[in-house]
Amino acid sequence: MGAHDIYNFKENQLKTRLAYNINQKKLFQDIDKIPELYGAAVVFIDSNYTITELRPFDPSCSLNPIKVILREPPKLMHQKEFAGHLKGSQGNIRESKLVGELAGTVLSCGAAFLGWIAVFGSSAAIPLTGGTSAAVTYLAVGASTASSMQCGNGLYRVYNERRNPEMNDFLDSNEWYQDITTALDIISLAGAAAAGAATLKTVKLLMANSSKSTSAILKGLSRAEKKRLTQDIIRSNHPGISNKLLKNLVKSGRYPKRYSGIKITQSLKLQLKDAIGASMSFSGSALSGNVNSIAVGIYEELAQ
Amino acid sequence: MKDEEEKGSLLFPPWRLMGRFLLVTMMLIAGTAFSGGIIFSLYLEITLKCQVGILFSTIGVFCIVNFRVTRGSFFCANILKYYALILACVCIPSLLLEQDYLFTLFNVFLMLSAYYLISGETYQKLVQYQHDFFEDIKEARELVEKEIERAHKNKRG
Repeated sequence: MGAHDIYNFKENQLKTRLAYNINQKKLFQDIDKIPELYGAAVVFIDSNYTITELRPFDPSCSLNPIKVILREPPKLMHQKEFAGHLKGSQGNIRESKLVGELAGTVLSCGAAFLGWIAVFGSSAAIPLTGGTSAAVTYLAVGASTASSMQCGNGLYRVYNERRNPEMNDFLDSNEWYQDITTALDIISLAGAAAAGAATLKTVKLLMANSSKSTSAILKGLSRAEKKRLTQDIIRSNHPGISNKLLKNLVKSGRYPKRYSGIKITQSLKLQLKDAIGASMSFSGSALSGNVNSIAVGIYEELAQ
Repeated sequence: MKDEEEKGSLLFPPWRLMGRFLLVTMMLIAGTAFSGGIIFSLYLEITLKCQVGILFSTIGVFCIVNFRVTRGSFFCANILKYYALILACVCIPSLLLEQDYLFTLFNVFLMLSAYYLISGETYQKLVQYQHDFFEDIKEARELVEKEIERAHKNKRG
């Protein structure tokens, strides 16, 4: 089946639908009652841009062809926007864009906010996580910087939307601008992936040291488990360390006998926050950035 | 004060201190974006590419400096303080140049508030807290390394 056949099929489907939905006879009569529109062609465009001619132009009363076009709002365009678009007024579109810009900015800034909490805390978790948190910290800094840039970019766009709206249209039309937002999205997503991996690694480490379920681990560990976990963390920090030296270090008070439950759960909370922060970066970019098209794709799939 | 010391034993610094840091961070990001908009629309006539480049570079540098603050750098905290002041000062002449001055006034207020908050006791306490924290980690690491080295020497001996 070729593209032309598919289009014909769609057109026929549309015609069948309209035959049920519109009283075409009455519509044509009403149009013909208007002297200027007598004999005008009637064309219908649906939300998928399928075009069908309901009635051809009758040249008996006018030399110049007249067409009455009936058009459904495009699927992805809000009704209000569509009305504004048809009127040729940009006011409503601009208003909707400002709301969209603000929503994207709030998400990006929220992501930056959470990202900075993660940066703050992950550096403090270095002693507990045996150095793994240090790498995550730098990834978190990268993700936070990307989110901060998105936040700044969003605020700059809000400023432009208020003062010079054409500037945003011009920005959107540039390929390099799309490339920059792509790069920022990738960095944010890399941060999300790293945070997710680090969270899984920590939970795995905890699970390996406990017979409890994940939910039970997240709530806390028993005293003996905490002691064992602490020893494992110290060993992973210093692979060459012996049990005797370890005991001496614990005795001398240089290593803690065990980490408190609150410290362990704080560390997990921190990594979860990082993961949420990075996923919010993703949501922020989904509204105004590169991931936009992917997000729409998903919504379409869900709608079907 | 006692409460803060208790909280200091946890992984996060006291929330009051961290909240102040986050507030200042958000204010400075907003100030950078708004001041950028004001500067580009009133003072500088440069291409859009340059505008976006300058904006992103400034935020990037800001993030690096801000990260150093989370590591307890007083020098970087001072840089941020004067950065906020510069952004406020840069926007003041635009109050005379444009008719719609409310937005600019808001930005100037935002930046002066950021300057005030960074100079405040709470923000400085946070920097001090982080500074002490990382000094302690450094000290503990050095001690552990010495112990391990000694243990290895004894093993060989």
